[in-house]
Amino acid sequence: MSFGKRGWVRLQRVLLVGFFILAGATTVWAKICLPPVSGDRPRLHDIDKTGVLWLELLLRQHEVCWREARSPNEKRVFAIGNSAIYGFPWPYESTAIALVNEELERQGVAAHIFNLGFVFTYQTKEAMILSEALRYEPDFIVYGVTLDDYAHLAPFPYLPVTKFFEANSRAVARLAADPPRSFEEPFRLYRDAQAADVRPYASWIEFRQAGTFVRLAAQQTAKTIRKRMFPSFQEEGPRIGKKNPRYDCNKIKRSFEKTYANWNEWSMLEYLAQLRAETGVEVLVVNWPVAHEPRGDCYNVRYPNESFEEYLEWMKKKADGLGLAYLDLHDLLDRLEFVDSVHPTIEGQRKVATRLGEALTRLLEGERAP
Amino acid sequence: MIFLDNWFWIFAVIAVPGFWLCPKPLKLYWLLAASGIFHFHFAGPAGMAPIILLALMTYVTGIAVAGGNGRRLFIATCTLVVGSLLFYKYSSFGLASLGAFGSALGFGSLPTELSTWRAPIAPLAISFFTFEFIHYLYEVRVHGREPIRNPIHFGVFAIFFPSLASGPIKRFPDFVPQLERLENPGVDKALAGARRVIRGMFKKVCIADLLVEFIVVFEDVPQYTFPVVAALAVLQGFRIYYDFAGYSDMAIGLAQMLNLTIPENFDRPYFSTSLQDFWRRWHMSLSSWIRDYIYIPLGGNRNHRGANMLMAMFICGLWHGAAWNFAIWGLYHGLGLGLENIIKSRYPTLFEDRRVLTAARWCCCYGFVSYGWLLFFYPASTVWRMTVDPILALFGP
Repeated sequence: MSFGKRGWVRLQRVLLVGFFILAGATTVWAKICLPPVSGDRPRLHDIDKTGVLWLELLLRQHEVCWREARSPNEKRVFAIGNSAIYGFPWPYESTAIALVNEELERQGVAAHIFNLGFVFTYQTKEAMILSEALRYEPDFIVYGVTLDDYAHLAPFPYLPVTKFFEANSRAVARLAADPPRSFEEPFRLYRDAQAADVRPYASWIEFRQAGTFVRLAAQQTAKTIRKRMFPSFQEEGPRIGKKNPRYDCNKIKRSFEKTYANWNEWSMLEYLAQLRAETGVEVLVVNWPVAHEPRGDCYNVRYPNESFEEYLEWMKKKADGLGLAYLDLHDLLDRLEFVDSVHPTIEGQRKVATRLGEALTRLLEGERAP
Repeated sequence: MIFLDNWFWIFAVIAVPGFWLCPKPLKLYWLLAASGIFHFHFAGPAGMAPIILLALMTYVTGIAVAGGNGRRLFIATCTLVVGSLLFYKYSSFGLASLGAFGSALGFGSLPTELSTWRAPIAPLAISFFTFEFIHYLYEVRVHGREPIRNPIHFGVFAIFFPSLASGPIKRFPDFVPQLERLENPGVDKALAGARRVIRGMFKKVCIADLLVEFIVVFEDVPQYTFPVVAALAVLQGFRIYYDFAGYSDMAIGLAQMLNLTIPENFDRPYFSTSLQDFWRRWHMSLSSWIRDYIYIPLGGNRNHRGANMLMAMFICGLWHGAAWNFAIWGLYHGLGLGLENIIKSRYPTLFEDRRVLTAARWCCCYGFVSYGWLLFFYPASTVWRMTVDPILALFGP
């Protein structure tokens, strides 16, 4: 063959240099979107894969980056919240947010709702996702919340959350310098816990995150090709409903009780009101359904039940006081319409979607109260 | 993978500059100590003890059999070294296979204690140790090479950390003389070594590991169609090449940073235009070992060439792991090489250096090697489905 050793070496070098130029350009150019790591880009991550936590990449692969407006008047609605809003454990098509989109389309409402839900219940994380997602210009924000989200976890009591903040240390530093209203304390705690100068460490973490992202994106691309080759092929879904005998509900509640002391000191509602005032973006706060009592593994009923009545009253007052639209769905579903303590079944998702769709339609059409 | 372990990089950051800073007379001791720490960390005391024992036996035997003496001792030590490999790596597989064959042929099954026998976990890199020790003993006893008398030299040869886990398989006449004049590498050589390490990491992490993501998805399909099987064969071929060549690059680069040269392992194998050519370019340190210490001692080209080739390739296949798919892969290549020899002797014009013929030979060779990777990676029953399903799909719904 005429392709000699030098040619081979040269080709390798060109590929290497090309790879780094492409990676660098992707990072530098603000509007470049990345290949998906979650199905057809409707969610921030795949159900079981949270290896990539760097929001810079997650948002660029998401449909908030990819989707062009269907009409000039189309409103962009961002749904923020925990794994219940994400739609765990169901495929995207069965989740409340996807069903709301179907509803909006059926009713001819020029709007698209983007699922920015992310596993873990923790509102400081939601504040971070929202602040990073603002560059994708939402017209409307739906914030799904439960009392579970009000744990005070800063800076380190819960490993997955710690990793999330570690992967986004530059954003933490930015938010600590100009914190969202009512989140001054947690962002200061995270910034103080990280090195004074985060740059070298942050670069290393981001480099590794980029590597994991490339691998997940490759896997997703392969899945897309496979789907084209075998349209009827269904991937095995996540296994749910298997009880973990090690969960001791009372023990979990006891261990989390401390994190719920002064639970309402930090509040997304304040931040949402701030955004509404500063940017004119409209907000709907949804008190998302919960099973109230442990069901299944009970790992995600951490809050003390005695706080719940106080929480309901406080939420309503707070939302009203801040001028935010409020939809209370906490009692919408029967206990059996949950797969565990906070994640509705497919039937439950449908019910949530109906109520949320109705409320959103009214709000988008200009009626104030849902 | 050892070279991607955080511990390894901390170790390398100390071991390599430490070697440079070491006074010349202490460099050898530094290398031995560093290699010992490396081996202990990854193999643990249980993994290190059998290797130390085998190394001591090999060292003593080497001196005793120098000049063609001590035939029995030579055979005994070789048996011990090979026996250790067979015991740790192949005994469970051998007994299970024996039981299965016995039952299939109607001889009854093995007693439960034997059929369920599980060997202790094999010491780290025992296959590499075995091959290097056998090479050493054979060269000293049969080819009359001067044995390594300095135990520190022998120790470094045995457990030299860059090549310890995955080779390349070293040859002592090339390696040991370098230990007698250890010096710091020049800046250019050290930088070239560092570049080689980075290149190896790139091959492993950015290419091989990325290909795995595709392979995992295409393995999980409802039906093996021709494009899926072809994609799997090609992807697996590139995955194993970039994985192994990446590892070899890192080992060679690290050795270069210590001003030592260890053998190359790959020379653009997928550009080969014949199987013989492929085996001269693929895992060169292993294929030359198989040639020198199995194929030639069996008789080489002199008599029973085909049988020798099959046996050598069968062992080459099994060396990769204790499973039938590796053995079948080895036999497949053995048969391929045999067939190629027959064609070459009957139709020499096909092997002339003409562009069209070269391209055709490349296609045949690449196709043969790629199909072989399916045999290497998957059980025979899966490869059977991968082969038959696309053919059946041509004839019906």
